[in-house]
Amino acid sequence: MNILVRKAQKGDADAFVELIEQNRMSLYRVAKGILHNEEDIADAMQETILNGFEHITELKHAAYFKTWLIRILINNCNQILKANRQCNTIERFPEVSYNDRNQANVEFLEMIAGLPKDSRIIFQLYYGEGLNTREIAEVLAWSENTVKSRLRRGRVELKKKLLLS
Amino acid sequence: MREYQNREMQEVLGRDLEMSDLVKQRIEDTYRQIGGKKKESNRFFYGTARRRVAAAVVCMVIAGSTVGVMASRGFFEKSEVQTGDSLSYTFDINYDLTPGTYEVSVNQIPDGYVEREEGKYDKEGAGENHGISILPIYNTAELEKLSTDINTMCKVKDVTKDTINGMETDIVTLEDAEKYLRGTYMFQFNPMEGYVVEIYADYGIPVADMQEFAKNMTITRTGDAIFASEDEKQQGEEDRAAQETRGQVKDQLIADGIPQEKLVQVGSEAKNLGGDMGYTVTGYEFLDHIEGLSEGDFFHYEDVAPWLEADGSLKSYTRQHLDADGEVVSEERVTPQFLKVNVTAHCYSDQSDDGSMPLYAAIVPSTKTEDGKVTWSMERYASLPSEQFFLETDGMPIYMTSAENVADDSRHEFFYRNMKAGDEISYTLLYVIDPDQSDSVLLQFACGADGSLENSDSVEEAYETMEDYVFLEN
Repeated sequence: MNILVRKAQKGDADAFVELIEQNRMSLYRVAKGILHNEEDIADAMQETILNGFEHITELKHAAYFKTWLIRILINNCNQILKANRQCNTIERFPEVSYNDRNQANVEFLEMIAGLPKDSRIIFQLYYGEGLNTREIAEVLAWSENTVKSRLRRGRVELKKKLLLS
Repeated sequence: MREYQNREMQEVLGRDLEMSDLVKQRIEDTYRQIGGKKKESNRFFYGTARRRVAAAVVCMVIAGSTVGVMASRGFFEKSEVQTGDSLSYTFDINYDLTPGTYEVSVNQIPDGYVEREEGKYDKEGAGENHGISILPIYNTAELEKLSTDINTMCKVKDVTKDTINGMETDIVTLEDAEKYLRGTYMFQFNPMEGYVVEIYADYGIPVADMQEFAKNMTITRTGDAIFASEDEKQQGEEDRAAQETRGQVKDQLIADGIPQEKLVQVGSEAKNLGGDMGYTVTGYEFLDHIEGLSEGDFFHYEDVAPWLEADGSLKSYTRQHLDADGEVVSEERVTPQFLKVNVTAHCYSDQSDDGSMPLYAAIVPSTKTEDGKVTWSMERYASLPSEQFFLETDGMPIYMTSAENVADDSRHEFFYRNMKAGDEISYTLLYVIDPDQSDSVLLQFACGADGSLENSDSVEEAYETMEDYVFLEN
């Protein structure tokens, strides 16, 4: 990935496309955890690709490309959410995709969808994308302490839902 | 119902999703906009070679079962193999045939059911979210990915063979269904068309209803899919290797015990890693009963009240002892007790994003190493799902004095308080704990996850990210 980042920083669009392709499913998963419909997700992904290509020269360490890109994506998702609220769109939990393998997974995803938004995003970044709490703190611009607390809170809520299910 | 392990959560939340055409097209358009283009994807063809893929779907406890092999041409050959108390479905995949994508439609919803959302049908009068689910289809690309046990259930009571719409159908019922609220599974195999169907019915739903749904389904091939590329397989192997390393690090940490510098005694201050907050346990005591406590100081009093006797002591509950896979190995009745902890918390900074500081601590299960050091206990317990005993969930307190977020819409922040640098508060936490776990109690304040124990790539990394533990000896 480092080589691709360096090439992209020199303006190689194909290299940047390759970087996006390597991370595109992660971006999609994260966006789906925040936004409610595919049109908004498409907007967020497009904006993220454009922002990323425009600002990639500002990335100091190639190894942090994924974290950096996810941060851009989350900011774009939040901008869309904000704009939707101003249009008085009724907010609801993100829909759970049933493109999944078994009933246990489907139930688990429904429980995740019912968590507070902060915990949902953190769960996706921590368990889905493999970021550690320090990286998540950088992505969300929170203190690591806050990330850990909200991860813990989400786990408690999840356990309670599991016992109730 | 077993808990979800970290690895399972990683697998579920890290799974590939079906990306909508809208999003795919927008991405492609954006690539063109920046002047770039994708490389051609790598499709991996196995030619005429066949590979055996094992997917352990159920654990069976049926003595004397026979091994059956169903020979079939087409997209796959399915075999059933019983080893010990598990039943595996093995799929011999034909890579000459392109896997498909499929759409399921129910031609006529059986009487007494309403469609809640795609693939989910609630039985009228059975309660919310209670009914039958038709899961997305396993095509041969998905079957190929099932290289580890999916093991959705154990303790199978019976497997009934049926043929519905010309497809071999297995209906799997489980032991102790009433006690554990276990549902029923149906699998339908179509090797000639290249898919496996799974239908799940919640506990109490008649098998006849599942059969009715299956008879009324139409499955249509809508397009082509692809097998996982070599890159994806390689990534999967690397992920598994990384997970194995973390497992070894965890074993080492447990064997070594919690470092002395991370163990804080009563009367001394434990700080969180960021240094924002300091917590001093000033006193604690174990209680057999409580009295005179305000209901408003309980996080969810409605969860506590049903478990209180008239004298303020706790009722017994059924405790399950789980193995490493989350399966029940034994059960017993336990009468828990209370643990009251007095704390003084001091805020050192204004770095929290919203001024909201955590005041809670969680009980961390502990034990002693062979040479007497305090370490993490890996013994796992759960309450019986049908009893709905929540008072020990994740070691969290059930009660806290001086809470400021008590209104309904802010109660989820009950254990948090707005604090700024220099603020200090003294308060009391109350826990429910089993007597046999009271000899040495570890409290970890404001911790977020077992990150240092479960997800460290080295022992050194674990020590860097490890929070303090307050040690209470009984």
